[in-house]
Amino acid sequence: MLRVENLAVSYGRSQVLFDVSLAVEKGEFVTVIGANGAGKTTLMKAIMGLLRPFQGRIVFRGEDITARPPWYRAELGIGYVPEGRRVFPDLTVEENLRIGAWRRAASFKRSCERIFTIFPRLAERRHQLSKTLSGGEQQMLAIARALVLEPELLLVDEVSMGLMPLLVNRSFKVLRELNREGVTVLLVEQNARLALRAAHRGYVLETGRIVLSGPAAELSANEMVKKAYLGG
Amino acid sequence: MYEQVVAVNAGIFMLLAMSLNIITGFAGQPNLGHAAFFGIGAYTSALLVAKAKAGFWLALPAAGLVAGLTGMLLGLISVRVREDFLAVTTIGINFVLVAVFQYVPFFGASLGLVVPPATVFGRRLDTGGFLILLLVLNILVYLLCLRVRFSWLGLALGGIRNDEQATASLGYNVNRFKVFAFTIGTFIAGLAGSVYAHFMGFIMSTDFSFPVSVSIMAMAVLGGLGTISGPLLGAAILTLAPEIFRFVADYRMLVYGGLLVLMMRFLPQGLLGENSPLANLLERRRPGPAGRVAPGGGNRG
Repeated sequence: MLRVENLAVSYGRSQVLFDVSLAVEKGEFVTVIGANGAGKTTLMKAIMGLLRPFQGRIVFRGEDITARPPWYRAELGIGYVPEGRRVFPDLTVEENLRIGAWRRAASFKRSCERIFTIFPRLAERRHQLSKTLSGGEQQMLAIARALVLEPELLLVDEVSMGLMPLLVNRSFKVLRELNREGVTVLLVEQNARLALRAAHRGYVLETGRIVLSGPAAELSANEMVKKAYLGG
Repeated sequence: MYEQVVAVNAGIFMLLAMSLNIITGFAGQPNLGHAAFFGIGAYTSALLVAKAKAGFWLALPAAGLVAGLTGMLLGLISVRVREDFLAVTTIGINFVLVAVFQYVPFFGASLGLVVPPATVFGRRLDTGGFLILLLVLNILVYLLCLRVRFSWLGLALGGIRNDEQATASLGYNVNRFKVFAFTIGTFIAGLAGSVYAHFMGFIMSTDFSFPVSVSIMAMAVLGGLGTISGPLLGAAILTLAPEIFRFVADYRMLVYGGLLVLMMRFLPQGLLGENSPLANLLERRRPGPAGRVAPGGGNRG
């Protein structure tokens, strides 16, 4: 479904991604694990079109989208959950959802109901400004907002960042449920243990390079991954 | 008569503050050179009537159009530069434009331009007539703001103001919306310029200088950027204050500048912004359940 080929991205003179290639098949849950500063967010932004790579190709459902703007990619079916729960703080919960339904006004009500059954807490708070939500609720809202567009591929940038363990577990559970319902998921994550437990396959990103890849179970058993990412 | 002149002045600045609010308040794009578009409107209208012998009723929309097209160009630039650079760019545009008006003989240079009076059916438009015209324009622009705020467009602009990248990832062509906000906002400033030129009967470059841009910004910020009625209130207060308190007139720029700093520090949302004491007071007096109903939210001024 998604193919990233030899991607290289730099900010000014400092290069962040080197020759990154990866693939995600329909229905898969794939994770890219890596430490802080490995280039995970950069990878996500490049796939969404928020950053322009200077080398490489991004192919989504057979179409080369490397030069396409973000809104076009969203229309094609790529959803994006930015890191750090970046919801729109001075819009209400419902407005945060409605904003994604611009071209889907007809089906908004239905998708809204579906979202509220997945996230009952958001239904309770639909008229609150989203900056008044707790961290966990904002993370849910960030995921929900991307779901309004009914994406086929969901890019998720760190669900665990800054959340207490209970909420981290809950976020992972939601992603797994969504995946079971047919949403293809690509998650970049610092919490390698949980990410590898949730995903089918994984990649290890180190200082901008993919150094390892394979089925999630295999990666979890890998000595180098254990040592570097799973705490021995 | 004096009161009417003050009211005309207030009406013009209400238009300017509301139009800047579309760009800076709704879409979140800094613009510290709004007076430049006010000036483009004024000079366009003045030259059309004085040199091309066009009527005022043709010159008025033409002034808006020329200012709006220039604003569209600025919008196209704005999508290529970061916010802080954009602020500097808009200041630069203001200075360049004032210099052009100041030195190019075609624009009257330092002597300024004498502007023929506006006429309706062969009769000269008097101060009362200008007041009615401004009232109509203000109502139209207010309704436009209301319409924009509570529509998809308003929601999209709100998203861009909050987080441009996230909005883009939700399928919005962010650039197109920014350019749109600049075009509409500067179009209205152009209309205000036309009215100003024909009301004053004489314009010169300094009428549209950077301090005027700061004044317009101070009005929008005082009332509440992003609110509907805030800019009207801010413009009313800041145009009337110098008439009532002499010292404000003497230290106008000091007051406006100081006000900007104080507002940013203590009441960044403005007098009518979210959770401001005044907005809360008005909210409490409103009957019915408090809460936000329409898309775009109810309690924003």
